[in-house]
Amino acid sequence: MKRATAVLFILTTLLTACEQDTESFNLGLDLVESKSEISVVDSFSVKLSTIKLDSIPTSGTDILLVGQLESETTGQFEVNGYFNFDRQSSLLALDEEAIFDSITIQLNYADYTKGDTAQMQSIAVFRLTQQIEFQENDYSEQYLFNTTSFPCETVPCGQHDFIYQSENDYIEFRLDDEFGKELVALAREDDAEEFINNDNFKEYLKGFVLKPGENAPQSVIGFSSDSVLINMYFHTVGLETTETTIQFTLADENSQFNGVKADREGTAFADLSSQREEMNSKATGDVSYIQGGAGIIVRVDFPSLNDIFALKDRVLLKAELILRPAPESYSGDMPEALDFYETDRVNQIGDQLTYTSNNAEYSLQAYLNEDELYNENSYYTVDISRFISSALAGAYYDTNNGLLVTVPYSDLLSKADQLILEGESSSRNNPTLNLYFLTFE
Amino acid sequence: MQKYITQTLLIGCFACISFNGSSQNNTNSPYSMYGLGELKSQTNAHTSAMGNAGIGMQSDNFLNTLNPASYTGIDSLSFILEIGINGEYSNYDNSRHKANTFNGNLSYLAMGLKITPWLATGFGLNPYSSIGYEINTTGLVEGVQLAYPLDITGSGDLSRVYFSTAVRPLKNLSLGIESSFIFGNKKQTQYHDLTNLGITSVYNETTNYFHNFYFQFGVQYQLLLNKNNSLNFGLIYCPKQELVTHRENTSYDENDIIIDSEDESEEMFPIPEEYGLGVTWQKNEKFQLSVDAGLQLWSNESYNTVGADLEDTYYINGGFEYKPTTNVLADYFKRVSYRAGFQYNKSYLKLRDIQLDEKVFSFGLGLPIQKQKSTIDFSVELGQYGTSNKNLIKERFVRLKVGFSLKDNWFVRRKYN
Repeated sequence: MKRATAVLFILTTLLTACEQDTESFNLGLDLVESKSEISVVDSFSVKLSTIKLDSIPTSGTDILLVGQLESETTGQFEVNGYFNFDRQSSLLALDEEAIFDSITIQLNYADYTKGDTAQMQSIAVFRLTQQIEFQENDYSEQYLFNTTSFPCETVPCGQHDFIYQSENDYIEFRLDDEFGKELVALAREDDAEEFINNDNFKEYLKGFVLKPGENAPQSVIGFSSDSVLINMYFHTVGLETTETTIQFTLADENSQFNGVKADREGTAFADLSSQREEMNSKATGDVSYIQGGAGIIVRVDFPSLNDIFALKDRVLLKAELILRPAPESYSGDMPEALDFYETDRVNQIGDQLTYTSNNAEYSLQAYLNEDELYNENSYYTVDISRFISSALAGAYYDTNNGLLVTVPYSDLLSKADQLILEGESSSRNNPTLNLYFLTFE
Repeated sequence: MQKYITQTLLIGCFACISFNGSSQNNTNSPYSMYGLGELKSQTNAHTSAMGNAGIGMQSDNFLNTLNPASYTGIDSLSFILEIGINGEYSNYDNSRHKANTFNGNLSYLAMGLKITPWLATGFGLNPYSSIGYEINTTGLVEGVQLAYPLDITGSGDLSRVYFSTAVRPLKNLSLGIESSFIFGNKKQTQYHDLTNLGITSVYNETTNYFHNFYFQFGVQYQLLLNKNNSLNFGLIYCPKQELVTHRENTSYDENDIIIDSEDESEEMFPIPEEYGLGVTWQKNEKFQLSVDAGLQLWSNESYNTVGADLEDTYYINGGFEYKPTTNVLADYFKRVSYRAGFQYNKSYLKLRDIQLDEKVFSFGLGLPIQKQKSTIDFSVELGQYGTSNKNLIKERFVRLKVGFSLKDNWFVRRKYN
């Protein structure tokens, strides 16, 4: 009996001692009884609306835009760059013998264009008839806005037709000689009040505005504002002929800005006016759009998101928003990235969506996935998990809140980029919210 | 008797440690993923050697756990203690991958006792099913059909304790009932590697707990043909029983931080009704031949099994035992029991339209210990389960069971103590 027990002990110990770890097998998914799976739900509706921001500050962006764009969907767009100059005291010191030859304006390319730049371009320079004056924003800061405009003379002071060639760093063209002569005459007066100080000078020379010239094509060109110059050329006849150039540089006060005239008359967006009143894409031909300069942005809403609380046995892993451009957007370059801001019932711009990487915060952007093959299935995608998770944290989603989508904010102020997105009623390219879940049993 | 009780307790403790104390899985079969896992043999080494046939066979100096009515066959006023260990060497083949594994564990503990000439009881403990697998597959994100690596591991055990009572109301008729309590859990961990989808990978750990009573009714009838020959008929019936289940589900992100945890009761897990019948031809006390057949109606059940369809199972088992002599003074090898058997059964699993089946050849010896009626029983089962067709897995195994069947007279001894 004791012997039997001993044998039993030894055998059991031996048997359990030489057990092996489990071997792993590759099996087809159809055979696997997995207690959880990953699924994507894309049935939560995504509502798009268009909003016109009341005004956006376009001063001090270091870029002067000029041109016009026309869109069937969004109407006429014209941008005019405004700027003025400080006085140049060297004109006062100019030799009496110096003979005025010509006056030109020099505009340096900012490497930004939009629209049809292959055609002959045309730019006209007009003198302003009213001084550029700053306005205050809500925080008592001095700005000039996209909605600001100042009157100008009816006849241009200069006009230039040219072919855009980016390898040429700048264009330079003649302004009205009479304007040059007037400047010289003023400077040579004994007590030229206009040249006593900058204020006086700007009262005299109120500034300029760049406008599309006659026969200008549908294009916008950007010029670097810190290097805009007015050149005055002189020569003096003596033993040798000497040439003198006097340059006026842009006013220090940063009053350069871009004024935008967007005429949506006759389009579905004709009623777009107050920032508080968005226009749903259903009312605007199933599209919504973003337009830099004009301050047009898109609002995204998730009206059915509260249904998520009816779903059981699942954990939200990722929320991915997909926005798809409308066919018209494929005719030009699309913005590479989009920014997102939280918003409320009255479309105020709230906190920007960000993500954290290595303990640093970065702006969250949607990136363009280009359909390089067919150029018709491009889309923007962004992971808005953090926003959705925190919006759902209270076990209730406030449908008054939503997201604002815009081209990166600095581009919204300084560029004329446009993106038309398909709205929720679009049959194929509607925006979608892909919710990735871990679902169990 | 005192000595027996001490040893029983000792072995019992040891048994419990071996049943539950081992973190190792008691199976490595991927098929243990389904249902309650790999159902373990409920029989001892004696019965295993005979192809698990014996619904009609009476217990005499061993415990026949196939039919609770058999306990009335225990010798008068006898006490039988059985304990068995199990070792299994398996080879898996799914046409792309081969693997060999080895498992060993304590497989049963059983006691039987004849109280009066017409009343006997039994008690036992054994594994009911085991779960142990590791599977690599390709998960698909439902809705978008994106593929990603999905690794699934499973573990767990269900155990069974039972208490049997058998009565003999008529000379040749025995009735028995076995009341079991089945309990245990199966655990599955799914690792969804979502790195390529730009999503944080997740672990999900699901543990299903099961428990409930389970009953088996048995009848045996002995038909004496003549002085030396008898035919024993047996019948068993297990009514449908549903296991109470509840589920714990915990999800972790890739940094092992819990992102969700739930605990809820679930639908009952049914074990469908089972019928079995058997006949044993007994000649003298030297030769026994048994044939059993049975079925279990799984296809009536419609609980969620992903990956497998449930089919009715049936089995045909046959086996014999030959013992050259019953004379205790005879040459040792003439007192040894020689056994062999064969089983064929259809599994309740149908995968890719193939209902799995199992074929097992078995043989074994019953070695008497000294002059007592106690024996050490060995059984060797050579079997094959499943198929490698359609990329399924064919499992070949050699299973060795060693059983100690210790027998003593229950009341008689005490007088001389």
